[in-house]
Amino acid sequence: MRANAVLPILTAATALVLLAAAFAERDATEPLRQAMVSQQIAARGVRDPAVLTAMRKAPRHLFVPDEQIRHAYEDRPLAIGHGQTISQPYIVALMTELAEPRATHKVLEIGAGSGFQAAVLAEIVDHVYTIEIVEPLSRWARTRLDLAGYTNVTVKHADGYHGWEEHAPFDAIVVTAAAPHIPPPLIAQLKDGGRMVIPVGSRFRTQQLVLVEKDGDRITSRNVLPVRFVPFTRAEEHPGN
Amino acid sequence: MTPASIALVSFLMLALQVAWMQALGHAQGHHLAVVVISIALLGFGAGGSVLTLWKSRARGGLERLYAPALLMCALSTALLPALARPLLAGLEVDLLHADPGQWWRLAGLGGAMFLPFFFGAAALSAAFAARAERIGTLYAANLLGSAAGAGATLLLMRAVLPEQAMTWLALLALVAALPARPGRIPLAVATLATLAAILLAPDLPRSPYKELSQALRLPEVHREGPLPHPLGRVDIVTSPALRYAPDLSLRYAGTVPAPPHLFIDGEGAGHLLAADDPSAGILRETPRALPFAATPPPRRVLCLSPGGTPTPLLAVHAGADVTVVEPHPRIARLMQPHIARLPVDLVRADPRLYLAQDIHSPFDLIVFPERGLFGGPVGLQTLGEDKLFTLEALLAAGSRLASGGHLAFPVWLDAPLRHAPRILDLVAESLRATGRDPARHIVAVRGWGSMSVLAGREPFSPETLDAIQAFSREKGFDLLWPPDRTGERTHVSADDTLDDLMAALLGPDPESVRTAYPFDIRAPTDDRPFFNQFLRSAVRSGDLDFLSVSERGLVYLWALLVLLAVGVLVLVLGPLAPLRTAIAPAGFTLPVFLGLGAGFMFFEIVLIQRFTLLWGSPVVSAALVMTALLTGMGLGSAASRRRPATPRRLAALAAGIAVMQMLLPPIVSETIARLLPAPALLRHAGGLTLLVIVAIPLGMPFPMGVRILSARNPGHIPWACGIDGAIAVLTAPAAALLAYRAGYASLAGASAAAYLLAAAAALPQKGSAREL
Repeated sequence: MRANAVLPILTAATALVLLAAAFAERDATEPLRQAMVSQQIAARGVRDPAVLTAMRKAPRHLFVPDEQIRHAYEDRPLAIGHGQTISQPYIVALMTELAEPRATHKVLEIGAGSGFQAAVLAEIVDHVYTIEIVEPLSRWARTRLDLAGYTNVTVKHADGYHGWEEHAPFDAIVVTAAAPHIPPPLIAQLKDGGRMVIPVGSRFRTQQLVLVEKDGDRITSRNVLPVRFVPFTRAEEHPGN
Repeated sequence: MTPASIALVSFLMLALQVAWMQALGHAQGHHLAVVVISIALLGFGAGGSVLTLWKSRARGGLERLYAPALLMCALSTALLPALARPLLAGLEVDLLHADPGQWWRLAGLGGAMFLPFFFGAAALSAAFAARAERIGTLYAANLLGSAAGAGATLLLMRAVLPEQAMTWLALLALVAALPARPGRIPLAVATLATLAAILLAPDLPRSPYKELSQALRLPEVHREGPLPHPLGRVDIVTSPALRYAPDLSLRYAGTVPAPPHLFIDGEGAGHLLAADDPSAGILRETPRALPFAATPPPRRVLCLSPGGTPTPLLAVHAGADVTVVEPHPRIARLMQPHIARLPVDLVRADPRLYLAQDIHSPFDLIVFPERGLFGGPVGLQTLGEDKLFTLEALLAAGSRLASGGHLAFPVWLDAPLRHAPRILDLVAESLRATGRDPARHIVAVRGWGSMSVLAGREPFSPETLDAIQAFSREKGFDLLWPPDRTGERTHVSADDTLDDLMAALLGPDPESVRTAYPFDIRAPTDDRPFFNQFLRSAVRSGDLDFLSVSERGLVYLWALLVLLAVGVLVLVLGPLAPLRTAIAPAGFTLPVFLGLGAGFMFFEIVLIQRFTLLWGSPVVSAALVMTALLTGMGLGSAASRRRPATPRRLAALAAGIAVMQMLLPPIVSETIARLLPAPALLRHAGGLTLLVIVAIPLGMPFPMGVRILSARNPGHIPWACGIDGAIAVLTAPAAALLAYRAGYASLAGASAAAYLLAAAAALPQKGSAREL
C-alpha cells in the first residue's frame, strides 16, 4: 500500500477514535495527549511538571468544534468561530508555565474562547475565573467545561478589560486575547508577587507574549517571544457559531 | 470600430482596473493591486494571440470579431463580482506562504478577472489589425480613452464605492459594440444578461481577519461609513471595548479612553480622541510623551500624518501651538471638529510635500507617524514604499527645525527587531549627513512595547537629559540612549539585542551591524524607499513566519512573476506555437515590440514613483501619470500618421527616446523640486505639462511599428500586440523587484536599454534582407 493511501486512512481512524472518545470515555485519547506533550511541548522546553501533567489530562478534543476534533492534538491552533482560535498546545502550555500556577492559587483568565486554557489551569489551581466578551463563546466555554467535568471554573460573559473586581486580587492572570495595551485594572487586580501573561501588539498580526511581574510598586515586563496570529480560511470556521 | 467606440472600450479597461484595485484593496489588501494590473495586461496579451490564431485560420475578417468580443466583455464585466465572491470568501493572502490551496483561489480570482480584459483586448486588437491604415487615429483614441478612464474613475470614487460602480461599467462595452452592428438577437441577449448580472451582483466579502471585521464583532459597536475616497474608504467604529493607550505605562492606574477608531480600507488608521475627554492626555503616560519632557518644552509642534487627534492633543496639553498635516481629506474633515477650538492648524496635504515647501517658520518639534505596528502604510505600492521615511525626507524635516529643535519617532518593537533598528539607522544617517555625531544627538526611551527616538539639532544638554531621565523613572520606562549608567531595566526581552544594535548603529562603524544583521535594516533613500521591506536575497523560511503580509510582498512578487510567466506561455505565446512557421517572430517583430513594451512599462513605473513626491499620494500619482502619459502618447500617435513609417525612422525614434530617458531624470528631479513649493494648481499643471511633452514621442514607435508590419507582413500585427502585452505582464512585477534590488535609477536605465534594444533591432542591416 502506498504511503499517500495510508495517511487518509490513519487520519480517518484517528478521527473516529476521537469522536468515540468525545462521547464515550476520555482515556482513549490519552496516547494522543502523551504524544502531544512529549513531542510538541516538552521538546520545546516547557519543564514545569504541573503544567506537563495538566496538559496530559485536559481533554483538548472536548474544546474544539466537532469538525475539528480530528485535528485536536495537532501542533497548531484551530478555528473555533467568531474569528477566534484555540491556541496551539505549546502556546497554552507556555503561557501556563509563565504564570507559575500553584495548587492554592486563584487565577483570572481573560478571553475564555474555547475554554481549554481555563481547563488546563483548573487542573493545577484551586479556582479559575474566566471572562469572555463574545457571548456565544462564553456559553460554549461553559458547556464544554461542564462536559469535561471542571467544577472549579467560573465563566462570565463580560468585557475582560475590567477584570473581576469581586474576586480580586489574583495570583496570576492569563490573557489570551491580544491587546494594544496592558489594562490598568488587570495590573491593579494582580496580587503583590503575582504574574500576568499577555499577548500584546496589533491584535491580528505579530504580537509579543509579555510577562508582567508585580513586586510592590515595581512592575516589570519581559517580552518572552513573538507570537503570530494565524488566520483561517472561512471554511474552517465553526459554522455553528 | 469608430474612434469613439475604441475610446469607450479603452475607458472601460482602465476604469475596471482602477475600480478592482480599490475593491480588492478593501476586501483583502492593497498588495493585490499588482495582481489586477498584471491580469489585465495578461488579458491584453492573450487577446492579441487569439487574433493571430483567428486570422491564420482565415475564419473571416477581423471586423466580425469586434462586436461579439465586446458583448462578451460586457457580460464578463457584469458577472465578475458573482464569479469573484466565492473565491474571495475563502481567500486569505496572509496564508499564501503556508497554504498552497490559497494559490488556487488566487489563480481562480485571476482567471475571473482575466475574462473582461481578454475580451476587451481582443476587440481592440481586432480593430487595430483590421484598420491598420488608421492605426494612428485608433491608437490615439485608445490612449485618450484610457487616460479618461483612469482620471474619471478616481473622481467617481470620491462619491461612490468602487464595487457599486464597477458592474455598471459593463454598459460601456455594450454601447461600444453598437457601431459594429452586432445583430439584434445577440445584442438583446447580451444586454438582458448583462443587466441581470448588474442588478444581481453580490457584495465582495471583506476578510474576517481585517481589523475592521474584528472590530465590528465587539459588543455595542457603532459604525459610521464607509466614506468613499480614492485614497481608501474610511470607516469610523466606536465600542466601549475599543480603547486607545499605546504602550501605556504599567504604573498608570487611571481611565483609558475608548475613542472612535478610524479605518482606511479596513485597516486601523487612527483615533478621534475628543479634546474634552477626561483622558484626552493619555499619551502623556506613554513613551510618546518623551519630546515634551525635554527642556525647554517645544512651543511650535508639527505632527505629520498623526493618525487622528491623540498626538495633536498631547502637544496642546503640553502648551504648544500645533500644525497637523493630514493627507487623507476624509480623515482631516473628521478631525476638524475635535480640534476646532484648540491652537491647532490643520493642513490637508501630503507630509512629504509639506516638508518640501519652503514657506513655513521653523518648528521646535516635528513628530513623525508611528511605525512598526501595522506593517506599512496603505497604498498602491506592492513593496510598501514610504516616502516619509527616507534619508531625504528626514533631511527636509531637519531643515524645518528651529535652533534646539527635535524630530520625534515613535516605533513599536517588533520581533525579531526590524523597524526599530531601521529607524535608528535612518536617523543616525541623517545626522551624519549634516555633520552631526548621532551618539550625541539622539535620545531613546522604551516602554514594554515601543520605543521613542528623539533626534536633536543640537547635542542634548545635561539639563534635558536629567529631565528625560526623571520622566522615564516616573513613568516606569527605560532610558535606552544615552545608556543608563545604573544599568537597571524595567522592560527586557528574552532575546534582547536592542542595546547592542543601538550602540553599533550610533557608533563609528554602523556598516558592520548592517551587514551582519539577519534582516536588511539599512536606511531607505528616495531611490530605494522600501521602509517596510527587510528581507535579504536569501530568505529563511523562519523569517517569513513573523513578517506581516506587506513585508512578505517581495516573496509574493517572485511567486507572481513565475505564475505570470506560466500564464504568458500558456495564454499568450502558447496559442501561437502551432503557427510558428507561418508567423514566427523574426529579427524585427520580437525584439522591437519587446523593447518598446518593456521600455515603456519601466519608464511609466519610474515616473509614477518620482511624481508621487510632487502629487503626494501614490494613487493620485499613478492616475495622473497614466492620464498624462496616455494623453501625450495619444497626441504622438496621431501625429505619427503624417510621417512615413520606415525601419530606419523607427530605429532613430527609439534611440532618441532612449537618449531622452538618460537625460531626463535630472530634469524631472529639478522640475519637481521647483514645483514643490508652488500652489497646487501650478504644481499639477506643471507636472502634467512635462509628462505630456515627454509622452508625445513615446506614442509614436508602436503605431509606426504596426504600420511597418502592415505594409510588409500584416500577419505579424496581432503577434506584435501579443508580445507587447506579454512583456507588459511580466515587467509590472519585474520592475518592482528590480527597483527593490537596485533602486529606481537603475529601473530608468533598464528602460533606456530596452528602447535601445528596439532601436538596434529596427535598424536595417547591410547585406541582408531583414525579415519582418
